[in-house]
Amino acid sequence: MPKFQINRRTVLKTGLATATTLAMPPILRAADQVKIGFLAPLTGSEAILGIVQLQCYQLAIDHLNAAGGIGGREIVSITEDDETNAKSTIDKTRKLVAKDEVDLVLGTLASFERTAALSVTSRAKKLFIYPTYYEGGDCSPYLINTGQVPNQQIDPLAEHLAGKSVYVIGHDYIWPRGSTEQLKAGLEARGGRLAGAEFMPFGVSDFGPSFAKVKQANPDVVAFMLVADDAITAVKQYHSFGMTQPLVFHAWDEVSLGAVTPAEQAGILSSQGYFQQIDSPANKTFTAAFAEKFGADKPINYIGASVYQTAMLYAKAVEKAGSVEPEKVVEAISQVEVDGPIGTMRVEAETHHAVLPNYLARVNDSAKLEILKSYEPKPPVAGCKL
Amino acid sequence: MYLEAALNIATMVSILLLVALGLAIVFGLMNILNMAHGELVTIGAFTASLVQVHSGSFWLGVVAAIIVGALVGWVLERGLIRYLYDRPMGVILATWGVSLIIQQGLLLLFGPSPQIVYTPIEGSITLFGNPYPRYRLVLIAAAVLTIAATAIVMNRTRFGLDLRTVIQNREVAELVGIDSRRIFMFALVGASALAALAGALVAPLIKVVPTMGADYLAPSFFVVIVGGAGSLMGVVAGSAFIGGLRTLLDYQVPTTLSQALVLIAAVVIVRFRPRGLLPA
Repeated sequence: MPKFQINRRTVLKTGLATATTLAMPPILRAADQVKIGFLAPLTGSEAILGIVQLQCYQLAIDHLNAAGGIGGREIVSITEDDETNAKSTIDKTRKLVAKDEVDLVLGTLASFERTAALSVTSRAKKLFIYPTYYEGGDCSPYLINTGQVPNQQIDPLAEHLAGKSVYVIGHDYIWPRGSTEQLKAGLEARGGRLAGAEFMPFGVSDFGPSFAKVKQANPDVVAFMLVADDAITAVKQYHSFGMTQPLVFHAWDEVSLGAVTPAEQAGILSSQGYFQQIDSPANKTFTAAFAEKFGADKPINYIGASVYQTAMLYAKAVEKAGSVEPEKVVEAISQVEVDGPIGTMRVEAETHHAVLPNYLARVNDSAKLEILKSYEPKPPVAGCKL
Repeated sequence: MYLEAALNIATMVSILLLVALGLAIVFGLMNILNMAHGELVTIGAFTASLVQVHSGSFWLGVVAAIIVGALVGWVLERGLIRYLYDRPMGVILATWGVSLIIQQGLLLLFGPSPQIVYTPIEGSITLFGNPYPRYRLVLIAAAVLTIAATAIVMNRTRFGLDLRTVIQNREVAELVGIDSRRIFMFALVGASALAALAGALVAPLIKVVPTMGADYLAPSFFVVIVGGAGSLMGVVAGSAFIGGLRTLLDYQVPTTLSQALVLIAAVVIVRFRPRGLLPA
């Protein structure tokens, strides 16, 4: 005699139980939660910057959850490391989207990471917010860009360098190439010119030949568009070769300051939407909270501050929408604005890019960034339409 | 212009020579695939940086790097590699594991931020009207001295003779009373010290981060294979070929292309000279 008999009654019973579980809408399972998937380069060549992104993100989640979450829903956060490469970015984004079923993918740093993550989120119709400055040109229904685009970050630089000839040394991928195009256009509109541009693969250990080419072209100014570790090598060697041209490196920020000696970086000109020393009440509150959580010696840069304020903007959008559904949040996000360390952040509905200010700063002799000029918030020229 | 190009070539060749020398002994002569070679370079650079920050002297850091490198090599040999001399695949896996442990260990200890190294000799010197960074000339001289010292040890000392005997025929070497295990241990310790010395010497020029070793592992193998495994002159030939060709091409074509062209040239060389440019 078998212990379990399969008869009509048991089949009906189990079938009914299964059907009830499956039919429960997902919103019932997680009605009191907002699930955010945070993706950043925590290892690999951009880890120095990814760590600051993560710290600022954690601070934002702390602040939001301490204030009762987003519209009364608790934030559940899942952090993933994209390892500074496109393949891992795709794998981790798939995991966040398909397995964790997050309501938002927030983060990524380099443009190749953004492109990789977007290839997953746009097909899955998941909301993806990219908080870092980039070369422009990515408009997509489920993508929000809260970082600067070249007309906000590079145009002020071109204006500052009016009439000069500039030689660019950058990495060989879309951000340096796209930014160089924009710099060239900006310079040519103001009587300057691009004296030359060279794009290098990652992992270069000797910039000597590049500097020799610079000497031959004899520009007024040299501009670096290198990222992370290699940028450190290039700045060290630029100094050792005793190059006479002033160095413009718009991505040089507070995190870079600790990586080389004061003499090696003195005079570098940077251009970003935020610097740690900005004198506003919102920034003072932010930097004080950051120092309390992570230590006063830890640097904050634009890339990090933007993650913090972007998370706050998302929270407001969800509150306004009264839902975490991507369509509704996207609609709401251009109707809200949020004050924070970067000033007032607002996203335009036409392009999903943000209205943002800019600052020019120079590294002084004691390895501190000093703000030279500040620019009012400017609408973005995204280079694309939805 | 030409002088500067020549000096840039010499710098690149020196960097390759220094980082590949240790590997030439371990891989080229002893046939041990040490995947943690890059991390020994990293350890050297980190040691130099730490000692310089605390003592103010870069050269003390270089000496410390040699000692630390030798110690790490000794621990690696005693603790791991000596059990695996007969299992080449085992060595690859084990040393690769060690390289990951060292990389992540440094990441946990020091974080991903680059370590600061002050150039011990600042400024540039004018040679025939061309200014050139002084430290690069020191680096070139150091590379020449290091290879010369290694060649003397290999060819003019009892230890070098024993090592060459063990490499040629281990059984016969043991029959004539050479303790082959001891010789291998000293060779590995020496090679590790050389890798750490390389890391310390190039540290003022480059980024010093936990993952920097990965940038030097592949070029080191490349130099040894193209140059010819099993001879010290092979390392010189390999470094000169790869460093020279790459720097020369860098002046003519975009760097991305020049790296690809050097790889193609290396493939062609290995096709027609499978044992390298200057085999043993």
